[in-house]
Amino acid sequence: MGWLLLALGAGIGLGVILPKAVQKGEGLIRVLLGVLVAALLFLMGLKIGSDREVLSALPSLGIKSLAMGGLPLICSVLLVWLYTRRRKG
Amino acid sequence: MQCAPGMAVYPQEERLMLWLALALLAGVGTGLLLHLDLARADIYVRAALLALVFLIGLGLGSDWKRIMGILRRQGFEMMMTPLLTVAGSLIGGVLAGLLTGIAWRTGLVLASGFGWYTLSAVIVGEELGARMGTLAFLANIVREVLAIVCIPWIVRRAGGAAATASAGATAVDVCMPVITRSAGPEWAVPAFISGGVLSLLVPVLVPALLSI
Repeated sequence: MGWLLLALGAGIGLGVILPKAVQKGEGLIRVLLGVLVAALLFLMGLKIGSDREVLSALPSLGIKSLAMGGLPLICSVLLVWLYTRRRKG
Repeated sequence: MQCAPGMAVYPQEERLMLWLALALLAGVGTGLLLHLDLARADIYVRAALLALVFLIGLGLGSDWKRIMGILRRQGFEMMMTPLLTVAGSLIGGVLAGLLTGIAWRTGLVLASGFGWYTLSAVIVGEELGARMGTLAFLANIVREVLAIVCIPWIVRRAGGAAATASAGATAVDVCMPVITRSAGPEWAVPAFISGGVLSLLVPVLVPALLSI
């Protein structure tokens, strides 16, 4: 996590020093962000698709992993949504 | 990056969700079809993440004063997001256990990976065996993938805090660019804090829940 904090800090620092230049290149930054996110997802998919152990476990553990991954996500979203709605309301 | 209040949620979120899902599926398909040596894949992932977080930082820094104002107003909410994410994840783990016939304690353990599939799978695998380790790996990958694909929709329906919650520990890395792209650059710091807190909790909470 340390190297991520460093990269974020370096970006913020440069943005504070050169705000006009960054705002001028906003379009390019958005495109780069999109390309990098897509590349990251492609790499993640590549790792999943190449992992024979994970693929062979899918038929027996697929539904269980869907429930075990999906329900914690849904409950987290619901709790935070209810909280933010209550605060705003 | 300037981002007026009305622009915080981008209008083409469904299209973004589709592109994200397609990129992931293209990767899975390529992996299935080609026998690639992925020894260097982690290096590329790390490089892409570094570049992404740097670019997000640039956007934050260029609009620093306005964003700090928003963060000051959101201070309490920022602390509540990781707390409620932990509570929601554990409730979801117990429910998933009840639904799938897995012991509720194991459900708690699997959910406390918060999407960090590598670490949770190793800890769970050592304590509960290879099958549960694989389930921990798959469950947390499912959480990360679902979060990535659904974040644009969650932002539109429930806001940036809920999207940050969906990402769990991965809000600090892989999901951060998706959150900021959908919710706006001001969500980079809350996502970093929430994901960071949850990442620190995984190595503590998974072994603690295993000992129940």
